[in-house]
Amino acid sequence: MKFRKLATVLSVAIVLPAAAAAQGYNLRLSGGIQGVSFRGYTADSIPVDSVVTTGNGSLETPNGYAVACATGNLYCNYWIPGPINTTAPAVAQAALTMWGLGLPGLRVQVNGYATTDFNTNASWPGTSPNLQLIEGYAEYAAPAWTIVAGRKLISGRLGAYGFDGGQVTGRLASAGVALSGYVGRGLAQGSNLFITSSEVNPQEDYLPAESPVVAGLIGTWNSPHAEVSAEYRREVDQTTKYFGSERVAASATLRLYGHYSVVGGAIYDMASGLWGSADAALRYATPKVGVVAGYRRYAPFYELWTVWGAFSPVPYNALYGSLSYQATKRLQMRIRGETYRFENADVLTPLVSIADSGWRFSVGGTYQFSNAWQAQLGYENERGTGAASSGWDGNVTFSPNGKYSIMVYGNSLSRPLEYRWDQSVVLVYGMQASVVARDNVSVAFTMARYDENRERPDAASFEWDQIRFGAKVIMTFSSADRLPLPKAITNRPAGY
Amino acid sequence: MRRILAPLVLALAVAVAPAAAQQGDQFNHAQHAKVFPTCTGCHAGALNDSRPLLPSGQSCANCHDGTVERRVDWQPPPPAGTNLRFTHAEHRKEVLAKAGQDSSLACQACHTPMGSAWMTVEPAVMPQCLACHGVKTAHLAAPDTACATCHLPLAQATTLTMAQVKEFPAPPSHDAPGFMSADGHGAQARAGTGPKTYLVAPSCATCHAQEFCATCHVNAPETPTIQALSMDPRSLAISVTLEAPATHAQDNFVLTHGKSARKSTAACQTCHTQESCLTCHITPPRAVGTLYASGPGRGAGAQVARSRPASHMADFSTIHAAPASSNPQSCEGCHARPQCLDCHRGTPERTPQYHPQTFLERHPAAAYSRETNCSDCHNPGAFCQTCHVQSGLGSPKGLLQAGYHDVFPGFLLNHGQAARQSLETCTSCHVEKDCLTCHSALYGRGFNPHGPGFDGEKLRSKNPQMCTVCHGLRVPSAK
Repeated sequence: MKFRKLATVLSVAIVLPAAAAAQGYNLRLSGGIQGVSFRGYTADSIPVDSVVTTGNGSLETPNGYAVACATGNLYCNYWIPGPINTTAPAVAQAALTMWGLGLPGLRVQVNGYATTDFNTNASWPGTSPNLQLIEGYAEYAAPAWTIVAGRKLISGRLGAYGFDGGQVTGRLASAGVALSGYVGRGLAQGSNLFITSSEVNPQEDYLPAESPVVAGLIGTWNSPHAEVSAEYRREVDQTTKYFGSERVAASATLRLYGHYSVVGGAIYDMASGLWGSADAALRYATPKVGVVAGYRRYAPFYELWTVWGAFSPVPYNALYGSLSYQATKRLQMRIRGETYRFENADVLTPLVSIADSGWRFSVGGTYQFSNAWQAQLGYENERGTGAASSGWDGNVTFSPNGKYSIMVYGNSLSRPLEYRWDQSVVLVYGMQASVVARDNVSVAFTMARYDENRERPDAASFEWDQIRFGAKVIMTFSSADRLPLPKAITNRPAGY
Repeated sequence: MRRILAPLVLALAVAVAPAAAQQGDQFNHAQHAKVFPTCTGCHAGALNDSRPLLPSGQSCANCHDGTVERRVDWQPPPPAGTNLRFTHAEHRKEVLAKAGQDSSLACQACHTPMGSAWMTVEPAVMPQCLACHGVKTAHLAAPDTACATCHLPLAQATTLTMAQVKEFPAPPSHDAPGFMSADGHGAQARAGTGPKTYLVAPSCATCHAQEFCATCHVNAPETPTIQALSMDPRSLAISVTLEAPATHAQDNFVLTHGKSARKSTAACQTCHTQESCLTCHITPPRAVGTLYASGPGRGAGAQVARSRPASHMADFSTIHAAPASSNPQSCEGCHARPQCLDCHRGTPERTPQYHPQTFLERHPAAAYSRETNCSDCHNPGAFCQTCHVQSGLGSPKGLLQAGYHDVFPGFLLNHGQAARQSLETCTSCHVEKDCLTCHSALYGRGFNPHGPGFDGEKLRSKNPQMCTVCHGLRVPSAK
């Protein structure tokens, strides 16, 4: 059944462009598969009477697993390493753009995929349902306005949000102003699915019975020295008419002087009356030097159909800076650092001591030995609440021409957790290769070995090695009349 | 004047036309100074069209017979290519009239530097040629009107080889600042237009043909000045490198070139075809349509390589939201929509793109204190919970499995700060039912989860249903 669906999608994707009497089309077909394993935990329990006390006073099972015993309970809980889940997700994707279609200014975009997991015991996230439409819309663009109908993803400071509906945009090109409004049936966060889909609710939590109606406005203003946008978006329950969310946001890029610019923006949650994520950065960018110094605030966002917003998650505020420097024609170096602190959580936790601040730091460089050889080396360290990580990564790439390239790489990672005894130490070494087999066909292949140790002071520690692989084929097709450009493109409205 | 002109012309004919032959066989005139009293004894063709201009090998053998002199094996070389209009026949009458019958004196006037000994021979003494023709500049700096006096356009100089064309000397004007600009060589090429008009300056046509211009000018088929030149592939023997204008070297040129192009592409279409733009522009702007399409009969012009704008620094992937949301058209110029979707709505099969290779192992640290918003690209339920549940970390039955957070024995009772700081991470495993075990006013232990900034009244006005999950129908008033 899964193979039949895959074949259907591929056939439709190939036949569509030929069937449509378009002035032109671009079609990207890709097929890929990867093999990867993951390993978690299995919860277990043991009667209190069977628990043993070790020399240092800790409680364990007779075979050495640390246990947690709650006062009054007859059983103590413990966690052992879970089974190794090996999955093999496969995807066949088609991304199609058609224009012309007998009407200058008309364009059709379709992007979707068929997917399955060849392992039946476990499934890689996102492999269900088997057919997923990311985008599929028709767009008609006139000089002063554009209209869109279908499934589209709106990207902006409020996030990438998908909906099934329509969008109308009006432009005053001479003033650099555009105003866009959209309305439709909203998709779930970060997903191609509706919130009512069981795939976005694997633990059967409280979620709405209907997908919300989403409506929004986007205004932009562009000038030689500034680009400004403002967004408004609301989600409303179709039955109760209660709000799922209501937010506004603004973004701006100001090119002040020479190579200096200021980039920033903020979100305000009108439903909760709280400021959301925000940032502001001063940037200095030349082909040789790039410097950024900025402030950042991160605040989680929850729709109002969950109770999580009422649990008052607190934002953190961060200062960060980065520098990239083209030291020579062959050597590029970069460094980045950030320090952050959570706002007061206003809660007493006398039995535990939890950090409320952290920092991140990374440094690296790229050296171009020749047109064919390139090496890269980097180090990253992150210390924060909940977890930390540090490690090296490096790779060497040989790419003698545009036809093929091969890269060998290695990574090391140390990742201690804060709330559980678990320090993963991972060593990775692998290769990835790509070949442009024909002008419109490229093939990529990756393979890596992962050596992982989970270090704990009890029997739950383990050593685990695995090999991951991935293979992908990408084919692109275009109408032969790309040059000279068809009317659908030469008649595009100004500003495009 | 005519007395000077005639011998000069004769000398030029003798010296320049067979110059290659002289250089080729290295005949040493000075060594034979005492042997030959006249020039035309060997170069009879200078006087008589029916006679050869160079002597035969037999003439040499008259002396070089192995007895008088050592034997030599010399044969006159074939005529070398030339672009001179000059022939001896055209000038013979005038030369002889002015120089009398003593042709040797006439030859010396052109082939022998002033005051030099007999048989000190050079191909031509150029200043004397120019003086005779009234040209008061150096040879290569001669005005356009003077070139055609002696030189054929390249296309008509059919005897020239590509090797000879390659050796053409460049005039000093070509080294002048700004020569490569439209105001430089372009203006010079059009200089011939006027009352006594040429469509293209003869000085250009002397060395160049259409193919040469088309090396850079993709609008050559539409440029009258270039079309006025003939076609001749030998012109490609002179190599030229297309130099980008100074504006193209400005740091922000990638950012600003669109504005200039929207005003006018007249300057762009000199060197760029639509193909140039399509190197970067996935969705071609309208201005691209005003450029010529590449194709047969049109040169390649400027070769454009795709490069990152200066603004796209190493961490651009994490901060591109602001510029992308305020000016999406700018992004669409070079990026196809599937490129955005590859990250924002990635497929289950994902080769490493946004995240590094070891991110699966590293992601707890990134998730607890989000450097970016994970849910922009990943659904917390479909992505995070689906995987965590399969890893044994979920609670599908709504039951808390104590003991996982075992660093702090009292974590369950004192998790508040951790939860408020990293609630998104908590909800990647835990569902509402887990927390409402204690935090519900109806069924739990009544622990109040509301913290800093909580505005119950405002939330209730937007969605009272959320309040009823814990409070039932008796939602307390914030007042």
